[in-house]
Amino acid sequence: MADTNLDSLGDTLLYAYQQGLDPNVIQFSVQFANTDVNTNTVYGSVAVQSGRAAYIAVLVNDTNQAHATWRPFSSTNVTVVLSSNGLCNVQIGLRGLPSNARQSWVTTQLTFNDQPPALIITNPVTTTVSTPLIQLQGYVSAALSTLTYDVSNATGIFTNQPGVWQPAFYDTNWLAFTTNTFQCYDLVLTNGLTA
Amino acid sequence: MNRITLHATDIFGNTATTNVSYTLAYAGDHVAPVLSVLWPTNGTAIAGSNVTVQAQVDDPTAGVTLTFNTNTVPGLVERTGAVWFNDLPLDSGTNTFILTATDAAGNRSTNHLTVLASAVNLTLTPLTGGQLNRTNVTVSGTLGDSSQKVTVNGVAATVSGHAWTAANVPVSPTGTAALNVQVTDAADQPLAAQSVYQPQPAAVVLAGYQSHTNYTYQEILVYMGHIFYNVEIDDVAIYWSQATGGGRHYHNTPFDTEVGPHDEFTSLPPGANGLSAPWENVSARSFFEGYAFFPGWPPSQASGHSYAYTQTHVMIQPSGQQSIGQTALYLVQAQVTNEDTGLRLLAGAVKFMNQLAGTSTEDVTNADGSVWSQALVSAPAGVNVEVTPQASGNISFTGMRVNNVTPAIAANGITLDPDTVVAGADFCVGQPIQFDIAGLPGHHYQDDVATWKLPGTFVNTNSDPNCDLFYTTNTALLTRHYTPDKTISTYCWYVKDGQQMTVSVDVYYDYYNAGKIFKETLTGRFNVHRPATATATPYQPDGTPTAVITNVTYGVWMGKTITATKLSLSLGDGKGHNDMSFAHTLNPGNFSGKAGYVQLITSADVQNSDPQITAPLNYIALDGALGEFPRGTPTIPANTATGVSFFDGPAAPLPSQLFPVTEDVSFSTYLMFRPDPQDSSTIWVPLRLITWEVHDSADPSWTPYNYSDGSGARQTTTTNPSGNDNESTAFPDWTTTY
Repeated sequence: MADTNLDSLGDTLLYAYQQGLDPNVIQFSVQFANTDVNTNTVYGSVAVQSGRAAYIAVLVNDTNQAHATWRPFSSTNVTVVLSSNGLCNVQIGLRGLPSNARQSWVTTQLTFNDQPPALIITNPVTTTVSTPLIQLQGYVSAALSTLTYDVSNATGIFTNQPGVWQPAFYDTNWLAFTTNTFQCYDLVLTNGLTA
Repeated sequence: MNRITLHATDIFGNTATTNVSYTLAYAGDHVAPVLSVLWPTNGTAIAGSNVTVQAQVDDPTAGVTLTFNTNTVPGLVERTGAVWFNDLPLDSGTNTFILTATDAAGNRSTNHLTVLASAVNLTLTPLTGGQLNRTNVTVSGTLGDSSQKVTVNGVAATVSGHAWTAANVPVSPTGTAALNVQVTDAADQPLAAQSVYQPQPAAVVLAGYQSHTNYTYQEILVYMGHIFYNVEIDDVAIYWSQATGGGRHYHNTPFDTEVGPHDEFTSLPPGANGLSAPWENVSARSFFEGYAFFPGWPPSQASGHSYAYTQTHVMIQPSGQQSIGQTALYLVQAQVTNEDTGLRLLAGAVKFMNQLAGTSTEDVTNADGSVWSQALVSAPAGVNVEVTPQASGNISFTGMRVNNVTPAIAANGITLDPDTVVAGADFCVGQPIQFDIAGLPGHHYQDDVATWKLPGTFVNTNSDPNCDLFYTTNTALLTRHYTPDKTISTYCWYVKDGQQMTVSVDVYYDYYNAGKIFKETLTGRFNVHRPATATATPYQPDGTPTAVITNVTYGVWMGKTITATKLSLSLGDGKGHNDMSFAHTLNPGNFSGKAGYVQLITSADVQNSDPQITAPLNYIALDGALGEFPRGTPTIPANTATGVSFFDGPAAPLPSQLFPVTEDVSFSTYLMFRPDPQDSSTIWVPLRLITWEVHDSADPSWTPYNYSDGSGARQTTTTNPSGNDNESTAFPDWTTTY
């Protein structure tokens, strides 16, 4: 290797040496399949764009990077263990072989919630109705990805009918609409026994 | 009892299920729906020959009808309870309408409305496509008396000669555009009124959802993450769901060419209902991002230390006059840049895939070569639907737009209307009819499944195993008809009816990523023409016209017939002498074709008392083999009453003339018709079925009559014929070879 070789930033090694710069500056990105998770152990991957990583560290809800525990960087897979329900600030760091090598950090946010959403029906308010077409309304305690309903009555069983929802309350701690109103439109009722 | 089970999955993957049961019972409901007429008011003088009545009912599930003269028409009831009776014809003078609302429990309320047909001559030009979905429009028309005045929605029109024009007329930019025209005399005394209610196409709007936190600061951050919307909202309202109405728009980009770059805090005027803020004159390429500040809060308070968050959503504002309980279908399009997966978005990349389960996108190339992403979205009619794109990274959406998709049934390429028979939707029995779904944007990204329900009597060679050539039940269920090219056609040949019929279809859309998302029933009306034939049968045995079979006397001769070389007991000679003969007149209407007869012996028992002969004797037709299909095929020109005839002198060859002979024979003679072209695409269909019988005997003492030279004496006995001649859809079907 010559002093004209380039470091991770594209500078010559001679230039880095003369400027007192770490020639192994690591640039990387982190990806998670989903940032909204319902398990406290989350798996992601690290993609190194430049530099050579020797150690990796993960911090959860801890902004003091001095607390980092550095482990050998043996795989691009990264495991994050979240501490509690809620929005978690996750920092992932990489550095080179020397203990005083320049550290590179990427910060992301993961939201951990393992509580099932609470479905509250608000309309119709009585269980006996006199119109064959009702609007089933209520609210749910989480941002939804799907909402479906099944109807079983004398005319048959109708499954997987879509409901819709709208955000109603934005929680600044969760940075999400944690309460959504929902409605199942034009739900057709009939009299007679359930199928 | 109706048991409802809700299934919810949150964005974290947690699931929840809850059950609720409702009992539908009418016994306790004794309250009639409240029905009120909004326009016209009682006693209004109406300019023009038609009037649209707008009403409001407090129970949108109630059926509302309007009766005038002896006609009763159903009203269109929207989700909001708005009721429409469009374009009712007016008689001269006083017109009385009776509006009746009936709820599911049978409770009824009635309103009487009286209007006058005015002599004021007023026309109003409907809004054209470019005027729809605008908050201010220019309305024009004509006026019979140029001295009169015109106002539209309170805006005075300029009258020039017999033409009038009203500019900047405020209307709702979505739903139904209502134009209420008032004609007054020079002294501003009202003379007549007219209203036009035009349903407008669906539109893309932006909506901000306000949180319910008790914010003390006046600034509201519209939280949009890092997603950039460049929504095509030219002349389309932007809605902010703020109770105070109105809002302010923060322009932080030079792309907003209309108001200029960095022109912050542009005020959005409150909407008429206090809940929305129609924003006119927005650039077609208004870059929209970031922050919104709402009125009533001085700038000094706009820099709060904390924020109450709202989230902006892209919504579909539905088109006007959609009945509750129906399904609306939209094609949502947006130009997408920086897609992370090439031309196709991942399922998780677009929010409305999650919001509306089962929706997926496909990429299409616009006329200018740009690549757009589109999705077919279904929703309950009259419901705002969220279609907010959701993406990560630097994906951006521009030019978002929506179009109503109105699929319809097409028959042989003619798009059918659900209520009326459109021009060209006339077909003929025996003619193949191919049914398709028209109006869908394409078949690229979905599998279409159609369950056809065809009325009337028809034969069908569809792939459905339940259908065979002679499938003649009144309703055929052609289930889940897949074809390799994902078309959803079905075929049939109608064999009767000659009346307007409605074909209906349940259409299912199966998307690649999520299965069935909705079911929609389409209907379409069409005519099936059946050549008219006389109901009183011109039934002519022996050349004597007679109306009914029972008055006929048959000649039964014992002699040599034309085709039977042996001595035979025959009915006539097969040359028209005392033969059984039929004549019908057909008028195929607009359809030319051919006609003919098919005759079957349904039972034959000819007994010779010769003890040497034990087996029954067979009967044969004189002029050809039985079951000839069809027998005689005269050309039947279109729109011409054409007579066709058939005669037969069936005979039983006798092995012996030494013993008495008896015969009991039943015949079925079918009058058949086949429309042009005379190829494999059309089929023969039955029009009439004549059933007739002969019961007879002959004596050996008779001298045989020779038909060829006329020698011998004709011997006749009085037969006992009976039979019927009726319209029929029964096909001739035989299994016995005579």
